[in-house]
Amino acid sequence: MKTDPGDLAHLQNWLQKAVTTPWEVGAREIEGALKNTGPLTPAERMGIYVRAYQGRLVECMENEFPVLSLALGRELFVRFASDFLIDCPSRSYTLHLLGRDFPKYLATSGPDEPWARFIIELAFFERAFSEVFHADGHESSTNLPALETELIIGEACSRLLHCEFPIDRYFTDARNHLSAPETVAAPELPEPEPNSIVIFRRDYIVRMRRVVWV
Amino acid sequence: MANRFGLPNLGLGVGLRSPHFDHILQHWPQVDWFEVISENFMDTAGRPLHVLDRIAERYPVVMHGVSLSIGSSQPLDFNYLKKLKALARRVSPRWVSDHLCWTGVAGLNTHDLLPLPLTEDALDHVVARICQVQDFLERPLVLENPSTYLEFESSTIADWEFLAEMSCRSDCGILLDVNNIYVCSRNHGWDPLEYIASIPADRIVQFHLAGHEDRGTHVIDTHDSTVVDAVWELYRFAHSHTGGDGAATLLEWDSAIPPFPELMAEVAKAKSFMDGEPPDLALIARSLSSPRDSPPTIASHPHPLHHIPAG
Repeated sequence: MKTDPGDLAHLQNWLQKAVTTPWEVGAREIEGALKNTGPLTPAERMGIYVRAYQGRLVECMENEFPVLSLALGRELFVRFASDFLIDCPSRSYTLHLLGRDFPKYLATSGPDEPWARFIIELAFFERAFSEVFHADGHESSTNLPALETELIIGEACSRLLHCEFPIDRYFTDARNHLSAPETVAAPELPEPEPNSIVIFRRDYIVRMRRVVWV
Repeated sequence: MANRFGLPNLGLGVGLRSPHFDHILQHWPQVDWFEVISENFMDTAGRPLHVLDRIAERYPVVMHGVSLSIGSSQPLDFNYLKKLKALARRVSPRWVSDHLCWTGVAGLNTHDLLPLPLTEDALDHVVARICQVQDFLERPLVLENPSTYLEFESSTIADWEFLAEMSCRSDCGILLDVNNIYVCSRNHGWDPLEYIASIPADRIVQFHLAGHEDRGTHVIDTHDSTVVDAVWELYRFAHSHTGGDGAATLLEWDSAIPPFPELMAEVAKAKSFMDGEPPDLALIARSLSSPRDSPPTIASHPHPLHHIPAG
């Protein structure tokens, strides 16, 4: 590869491609662009950035979807997250948006089977939980917080989800397990149990409530 | 020598990390100041911002960003800068810092601190952008030397010369990361003492210290352990380089984060390296020339991102 010292954009586009889609960049290009000062080869040096890019972003996804990772098993979660990052690389400075489209990605790529539908529902639920955590809440309002479910549903930072599975119960049990894996067993994948859940926030703590439609 | 910006030496601080939120709010520990990752608080209206508001009422705070992408060839992101400025207005940081790097081009963001080709063109480009950012933020920008793992064939300027020249031409401050200098010296064969001695002392606003992972053939800047002896000795040298006035010193710890008291104990060690004694040059030389024989079994990645998950 020819590298023009004056062409910063060209070099940066090339390095970004080498880091994010390393299979598109050959060893000769890397050797041509990078100094070979030992003891690592230019390819080994590039490899540090390649592994870091994938490793740190998958780690971020695991932080946002810990329950989903538990349900899938880490190996499968990492595979799905890695594939997602290839198809939908980050386009924002904020990591809050990194996992925004992951549930939709799983929904379009998963089979229509109960197990897959549970996983997809869980992904949407966990993303909604994260969004409510960071949303503009009612904490600074001088009004007393609503107690009635129908009013809570109407709050701007609340999320209402219609689920085929008891995601709320699985989510709570899984988080209990994750915080004390030695003493609390991981939950089994649940049977279908259609329900609606509102996720909302009080005093900066995310809460959830089953909605009973009258 | 105090820095030319009149920014205070805040003493010894630590990075504010979410696992310590509850401890800090319950105990209000004796710590001189906190450094916060700007991006963790720019797009949240939840508990992280609430915690930061309370902490900023009691402690001096410095905002340290990872997404400014000052070296990118793509235009500056003024949406990002507006949010950065709004957060600064809210928490009144003593200063705002970021890294001499770029994070992405063509609309993508790698969330990594990628190295620049160190050329005259790149220097002109970075200087112009720093001036734009400083004008927009209406305050001096403070930029950190990142850890790097590769060097471009096209580079014509030494890293430390680039940093010094950049700061003088743009009139920005320097956050001198002593651990990053060690990491780069091991990875590229640089002389860390020459590096530090080349930096204009009156532009050093802050020091960073951190742990790293020694993989034998190279070093990864992991922020997951205590500071090694050679980095402490370099810190001693850097401190004396400022004429004994020193600069605000901050310990970063981003992975395998220990309980808060352990963090405090580690940063407190810095006091014993401010005694004006000469650095142990033999120890530094040994560390640079005799790296460990075998790499550790745990493979970490550099400079882990600190993202605050919902809790």
